[in-house]
Amino acid sequence: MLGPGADGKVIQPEGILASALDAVQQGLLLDVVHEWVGILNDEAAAAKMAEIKANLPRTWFAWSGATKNGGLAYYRIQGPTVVIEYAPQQGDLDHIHTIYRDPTNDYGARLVVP
Amino acid sequence: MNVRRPLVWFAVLGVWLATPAPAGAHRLDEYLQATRLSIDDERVRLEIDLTAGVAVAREVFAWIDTNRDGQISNAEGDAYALQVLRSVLLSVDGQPASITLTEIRYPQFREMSLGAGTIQMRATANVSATGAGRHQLSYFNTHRSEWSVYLVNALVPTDPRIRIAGQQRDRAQHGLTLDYTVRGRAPWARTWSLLTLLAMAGALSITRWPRAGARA
Repeated sequence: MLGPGADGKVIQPEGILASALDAVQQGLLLDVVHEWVGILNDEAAAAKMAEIKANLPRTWFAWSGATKNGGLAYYRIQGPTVVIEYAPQQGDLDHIHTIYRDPTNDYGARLVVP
Repeated sequence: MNVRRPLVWFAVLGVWLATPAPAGAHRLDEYLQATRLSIDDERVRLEIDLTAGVAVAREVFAWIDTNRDGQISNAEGDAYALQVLRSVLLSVDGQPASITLTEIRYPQFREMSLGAGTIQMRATANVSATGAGRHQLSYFNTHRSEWSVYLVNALVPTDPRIRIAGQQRDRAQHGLTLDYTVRGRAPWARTWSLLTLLAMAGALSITRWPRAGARA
């Protein structure tokens, strides 16, 4: 939903709030987020993860689809400074569309604000 | 030893690696219709993005380019946009809302044929039921359902008085039912009420003010 051209859009969050998860589940959620954030260098990734962790009480996790290993499912993680969408295409687990956005810093916009 | 043969293979490999992959990673044989809805005080805004997969781009382009000249004229573009909007049903609190096209942008055929060109349609519907309280919006899109997959989501309202309470979709996401609440009245409505009150008070004081001649 938030692919190219949808800069700065914030869709209505859905799913479960991370604050409703227990500590172990929150840790697992952060591990999933790290799969995207971890492509940054270690220092930048640590800063980003700290920001996302601090915003966990306002972060939502939505899941649509199968709940068994190997099943197809779409999921979305949405917080104040992160949106991740994971969307298998055409029934194929080897064909994934995904986006990672920071709605407050699309394309590094925050870096050039005077 | 023939040293030219490996060079030829490297050249072929280089050309293959340098050739950008077609946007075949997108839905190849489907027409993706993604809608974002935003609600404000008096209107619903619709952002409908239509993206044809590479395997159906030619057909989709032909639906629009009705004179087959390879270009989408303004008239053809507007006609197709209206065709899409006629397939969309929108209602608020059970009252059908008339949808008006505000903007339509078409990609070039080359972009569409690569699966990367998106038709961007923007429309608006005036609604009169967004007074304080609970409301329900219904959206349903059946345009070219035999070719299409659908996505539909609400955007977070920019008006802090409006809060979305729930979203329900059918499995194919043809439709969305949106429950939302509106708190209080819009600032402009409060200003208008205040001005009306002041005007009435002014008129009343003029009427009741004793004229000098009447005192004698």
